[in-house]
Amino acid sequence: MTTAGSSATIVGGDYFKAVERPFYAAIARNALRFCRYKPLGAFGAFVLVVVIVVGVFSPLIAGDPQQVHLSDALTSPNSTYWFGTDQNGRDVFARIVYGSQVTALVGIGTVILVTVLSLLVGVISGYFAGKLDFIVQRFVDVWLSFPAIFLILTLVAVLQTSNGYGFFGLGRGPEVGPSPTGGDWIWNTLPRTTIVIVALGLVLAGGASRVVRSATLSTRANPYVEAAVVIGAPNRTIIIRHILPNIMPTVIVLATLQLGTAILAEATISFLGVGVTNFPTWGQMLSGQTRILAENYMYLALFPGMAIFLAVFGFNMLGDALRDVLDPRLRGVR
Amino acid sequence: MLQYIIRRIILMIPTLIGVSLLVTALLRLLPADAVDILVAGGEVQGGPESFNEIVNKRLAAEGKDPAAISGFNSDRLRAEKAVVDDQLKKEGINPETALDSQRTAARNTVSRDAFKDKIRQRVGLDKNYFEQWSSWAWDAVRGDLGTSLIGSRDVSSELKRRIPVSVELGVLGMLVSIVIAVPLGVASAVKQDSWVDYGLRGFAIAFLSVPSFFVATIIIALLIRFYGYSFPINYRELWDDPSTNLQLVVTPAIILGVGLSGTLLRLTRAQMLEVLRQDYIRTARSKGLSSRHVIIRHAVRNALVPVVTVIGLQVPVLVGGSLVLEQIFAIPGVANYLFSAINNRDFPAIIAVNMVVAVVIVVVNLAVDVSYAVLDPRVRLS
Repeated sequence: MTTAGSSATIVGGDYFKAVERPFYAAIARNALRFCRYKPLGAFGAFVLVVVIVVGVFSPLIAGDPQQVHLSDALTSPNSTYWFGTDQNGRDVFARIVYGSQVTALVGIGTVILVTVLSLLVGVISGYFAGKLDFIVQRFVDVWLSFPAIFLILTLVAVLQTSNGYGFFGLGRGPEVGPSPTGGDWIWNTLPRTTIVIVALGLVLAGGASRVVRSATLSTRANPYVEAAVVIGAPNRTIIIRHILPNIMPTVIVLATLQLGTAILAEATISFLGVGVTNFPTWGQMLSGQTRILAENYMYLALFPGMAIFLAVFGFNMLGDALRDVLDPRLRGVR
Repeated sequence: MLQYIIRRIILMIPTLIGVSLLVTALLRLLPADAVDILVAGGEVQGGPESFNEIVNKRLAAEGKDPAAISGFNSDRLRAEKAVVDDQLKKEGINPETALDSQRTAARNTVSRDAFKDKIRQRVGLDKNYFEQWSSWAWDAVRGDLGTSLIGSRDVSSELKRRIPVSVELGVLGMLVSIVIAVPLGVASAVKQDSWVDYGLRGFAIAFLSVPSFFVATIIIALLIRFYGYSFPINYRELWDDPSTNLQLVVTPAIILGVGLSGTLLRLTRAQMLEVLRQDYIRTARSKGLSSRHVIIRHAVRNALVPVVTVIGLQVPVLVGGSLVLEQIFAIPGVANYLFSAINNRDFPAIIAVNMVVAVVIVVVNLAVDVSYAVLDPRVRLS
């Protein structure tokens, strides 16, 4: 089969030594080729970079998103207000620029939380089949038997008590943040963003752990795992050397989907008026009055909606291309 | 097989008990309960009688007959003052130096809290965790889902009205997504790396990237702007008024289905590619079977196994997705009910909706696992 399989000697301690593989070198080489062969994937990476850069440097890019210019309310896009102003005369462009902070934080944070949780639960449950698997899966059953939106809304409400004694002090952010151009924006959004990340992460990890488990189960059924068991390789080695590399493509595709899903879910709960409320977010900009105003002021819905769409589309494109590059079974096929 | 199914049905019981225990626990963790919402919203107001009751209780504890000393009476005034003083002390204010406004506020707090406690007692929110859960469970087992705390509607009749609405939306959405995703996913995998594949993959990713509320907003705005058409405001049953019903339901169902089809299409394609690389496909091809036969009989059948799982996993996603669309199009479905119930902390309504959804999910999961075994004989049910 492949070199990784045949280079391991069956007998002797050599097996347990990490086989030196040009993994990072391959990634570096691939990164260069990536842009040429996967233009859409490169576009996705570009979007990810743009969202992060715009988030980090938003005070340099746009003015104050909370500043009300009542005399300029509902101005169509022009040279002063590139994306126009909303019914309160707030600059839509500035709000989108600052909204990318929340998007980037929630997206990346949620994916990390989901991946860690789902790998932990999925691999342990799938690898140590039997009684442990049975018990863990019953808990996952309960976990998955809720409508996600109920869990998200409830968790956000539970974590976000504004009366000062929220869980871990998470509810303590001010209702309306001080001007984010003052330089303290990150501390202002962090508590509420963390709430959203924890809620989304907990909810999305349930389904993800099932997929990881089923991938682990099917990998475990392969003869090379059986062979590793027979020659007495410890569980830890088998999981790290055989199971994890083989479920990686699934995990990457999953993480990609979760990045998009998390951002969409964040936008959705913002649209419903829950979530990060003391800071401009893209979903929030589509809610409330916007729906009625969209009839005559389409740009109010168009710009934040396109921002969400482009971000999610870009991330999904990136993951799709990464899958082709990182999946050993698909590598070289093109 | 039958034994397996029976065992799984028995296993549903602990799952459902777990769900109901968790919902109860989560609702108790919420910072405010239904009574707080009612009182804060001004829907019910505590009058001076709740304050008087507290004073009466205090007088009775002191061994005086409250009935005998009603009206303006020095004993009574002293007791009232003592009650307000206690509240002030609880708030950390020295009663000796308290301002009149603070005394009034404390008096109001006492009467409001007493009033809230009275309502809690009446609707059964004063019980502890286990009592609350067990009394709910006992009623639910006998088919009584209770009465909604806000609006005092019967929860089961409300559900009976709303479930068909949600089922119609969900089934239509799921159908749209399967009809789009499975054929296109197979085509995309079979024609790997052709322009068909690239185009379909682009569409799949675009489908799952569009926020449904954005599409809905734009569609509504465009229709009203260029055609002067607006969606019906009042929902009608399918059999009462099919035209109104379909006008209202078809658009959100398509939005829902297109959104779901992205995930499904990608997964179908990925699984097909995986299966097409298997040895038995090469064997089948080298036996000289037609390409069509290999793809339909050998590949699709195997590729669809994980796809079926995802269809099962999408049921909760459907509920979530329909929440936004039900909100926008004002469709009186289950998700809409759940959303307002959560905002109102309406315990009987929330737990009932969750249990209904949980039952649906658990049953669908069983169906998925059974179909797993039917579709892939290598999977042994045990």
